[in-house]
Amino acid sequence: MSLKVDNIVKTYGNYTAVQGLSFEMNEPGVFALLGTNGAGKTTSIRIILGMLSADSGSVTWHGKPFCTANESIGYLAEERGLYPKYKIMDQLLYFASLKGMKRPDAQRALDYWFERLGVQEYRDKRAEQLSKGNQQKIQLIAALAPNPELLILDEPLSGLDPVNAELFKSVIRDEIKQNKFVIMSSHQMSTIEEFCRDIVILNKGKTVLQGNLNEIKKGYGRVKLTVKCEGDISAMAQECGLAVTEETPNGSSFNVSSEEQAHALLHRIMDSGMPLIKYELREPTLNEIFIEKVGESDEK
Amino acid sequence: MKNNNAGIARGWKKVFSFTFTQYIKTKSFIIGTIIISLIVILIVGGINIIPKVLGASDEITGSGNQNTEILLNTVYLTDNSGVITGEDREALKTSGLKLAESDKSTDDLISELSQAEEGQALITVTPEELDGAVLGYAVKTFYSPGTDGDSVDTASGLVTEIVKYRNIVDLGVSPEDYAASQRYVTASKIEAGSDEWSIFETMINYIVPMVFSLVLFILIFAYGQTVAQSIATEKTSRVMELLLTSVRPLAIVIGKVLAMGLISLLQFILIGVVGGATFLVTAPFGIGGDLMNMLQNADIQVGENAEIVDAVNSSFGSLSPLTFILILVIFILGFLFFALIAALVGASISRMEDLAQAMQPYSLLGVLGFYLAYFPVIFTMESIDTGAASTNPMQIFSYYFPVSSPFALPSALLLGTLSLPQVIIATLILAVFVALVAVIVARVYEMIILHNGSRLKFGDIIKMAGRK
Repeated sequence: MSLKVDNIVKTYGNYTAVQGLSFEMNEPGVFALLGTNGAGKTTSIRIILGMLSADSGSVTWHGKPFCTANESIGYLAEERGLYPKYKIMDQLLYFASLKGMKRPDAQRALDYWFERLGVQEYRDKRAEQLSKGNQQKIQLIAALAPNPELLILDEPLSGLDPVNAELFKSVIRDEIKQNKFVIMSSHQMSTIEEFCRDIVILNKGKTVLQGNLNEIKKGYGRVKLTVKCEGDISAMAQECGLAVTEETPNGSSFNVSSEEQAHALLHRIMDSGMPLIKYELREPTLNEIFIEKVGESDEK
Repeated sequence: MKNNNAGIARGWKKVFSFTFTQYIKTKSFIIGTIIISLIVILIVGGINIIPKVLGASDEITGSGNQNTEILLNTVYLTDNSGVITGEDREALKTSGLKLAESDKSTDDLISELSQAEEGQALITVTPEELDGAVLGYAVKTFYSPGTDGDSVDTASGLVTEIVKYRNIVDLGVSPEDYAASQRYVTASKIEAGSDEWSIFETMINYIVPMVFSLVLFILIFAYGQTVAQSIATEKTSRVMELLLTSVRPLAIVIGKVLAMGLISLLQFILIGVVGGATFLVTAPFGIGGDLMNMLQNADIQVGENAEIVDAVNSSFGSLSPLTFILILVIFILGFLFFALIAALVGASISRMEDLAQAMQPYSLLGVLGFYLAYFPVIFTMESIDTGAASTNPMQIFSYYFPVSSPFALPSALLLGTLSLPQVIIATLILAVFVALVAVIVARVYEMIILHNGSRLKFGDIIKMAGRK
């Protein structure tokens, strides 16, 4: 067992920011902390990092109480921050020294990351002279330079163009290969699905869904049906007890209660002789699960 | 869950080192330091040289005598009163007056002088009579164009003194009695039980506290504001979140406050060094050299010069290494007091544009402390005329009140206005107050540093301090 978050609670007056969050990371990989805005993700991350004290509960790392100052952690905050007036190299060396790195080691690590992320020419520039995307790269360097065992990435890809987003993804993949523990928070569900093994979904401080992403999806089964034909299939769908949930140029979407229900619709279309362009029966995406779970939670 | 409190200030040295090295590289610091140094050079050099240029040094000379050179090549003396004797003429020559004889009439001499080269003068002594009785004497000095005005005044003064002297002595008063009649008389009112100051002591006792409180205010208050700005910048630019993954908030406060304190102290010392160096360099050309000469020859000074020597010795004579150590301690405590409050203010805002408004209570506190230290000195200015030592209760209060004592105590120490035990008591009160502020800041800072949203008000912060 490596990282264990056990029933942490944080309140501000009458407002409960986090209510009994628990999860474990027993082996390296990426863990997703998901939620709507204000769900308690950032507060949870700050408690895990030791920036905030929880009212109750505990965070342990390798079985011992978690202490920021003693652990090797890399953190990319949601709201990026650099000293606007100071030179990039000066501030990165400072951040590295606070992590306990010796100057030659820090210099070597920074040289590597400058090259890896293609920002060598900015090392002697002031942060305010850099574009937002390049500032984000510098922040990622600050998080990665100490070669942390635990990496916390809060919205790592937000605001990046597709090329730089791919560059960041490749870096994250490399970190995973190096057996790092990564906690990722993002609203880009496709990215979460791409990297994460386990997830927690928070809504208004409460955990509304938790577990292994593949198992969660399997638990739902193949309940999402998309059909595209050269004609109107709404009457046939209705005969099968299906209602269109979404109509797009890619076809009509349905929620099915079983695979048999979907097959019944397929048979009717085939029997009618209507040309079929697309028929897809799949598990729900994380995005669909997220919307469903948060919606259910709000209704309660 | 409780955070691990071990090493609560771990990493402060790195924060200190980074803050220090980055700040001294900033343009604002470099330009500010240059401007301050230039101002000090101008003030010290100006105070030293300008009075000399304006002739004030006539009254302050190292020998204690009035040996001003009289820049007159020829002086004609026409005595129509008959009071000036041959002995007096010799005395005038001994004083440096180059007396010359002429058979020409007064009008002719005046006419010649109007065309003559500079450095020539005619002094006439004429009795003014009414009904045959002499009412007085008129001493008139006519001089050629371009002649040194000070020399003309000196020559005229010498002749006037001779006429006065001879007038009295001719009435049968002995030269000794005449000298005795010229003794000066001063009038002063002194509250029973207070120290009695000479006019020079009084001036020193006003000027030194005013200058000191002003310099200390600028350093302590301005750098306190820099601490607030620095923390606010880290918080609003979200750098704080990154820092807090490595160090605790208290380490950031300690590192920053100490770094700014050291910079402030170094600038304080720099002001002293630049001021001292300027004084030494300009002393030979200004009144500073005369004053140093006077102090070195203190035992032979007479008249006002002796009073100045006494005043300087009386005001600064009790200085010891302990005085300077205590001044350093008071400076550090004062800086910590204001910087810790400023750190709290900086941490309480979420947007830089809120900083000015959030700093208002801090500014009021600083200005209050400064005025409490500064204004009692001005309010008692009338004492200069009377020579009474100040016993202004407001001034006494300013020494013990922690908000004003950092600005008031150092000069009280320098001038010996307070006794050593009194200074130690005042310093201890300040130290206790600083410790109290430090406890409150340590308690509240961690709670507010990650607060984002509306600006925290003073009441909110006090409530937080009271929470368990």
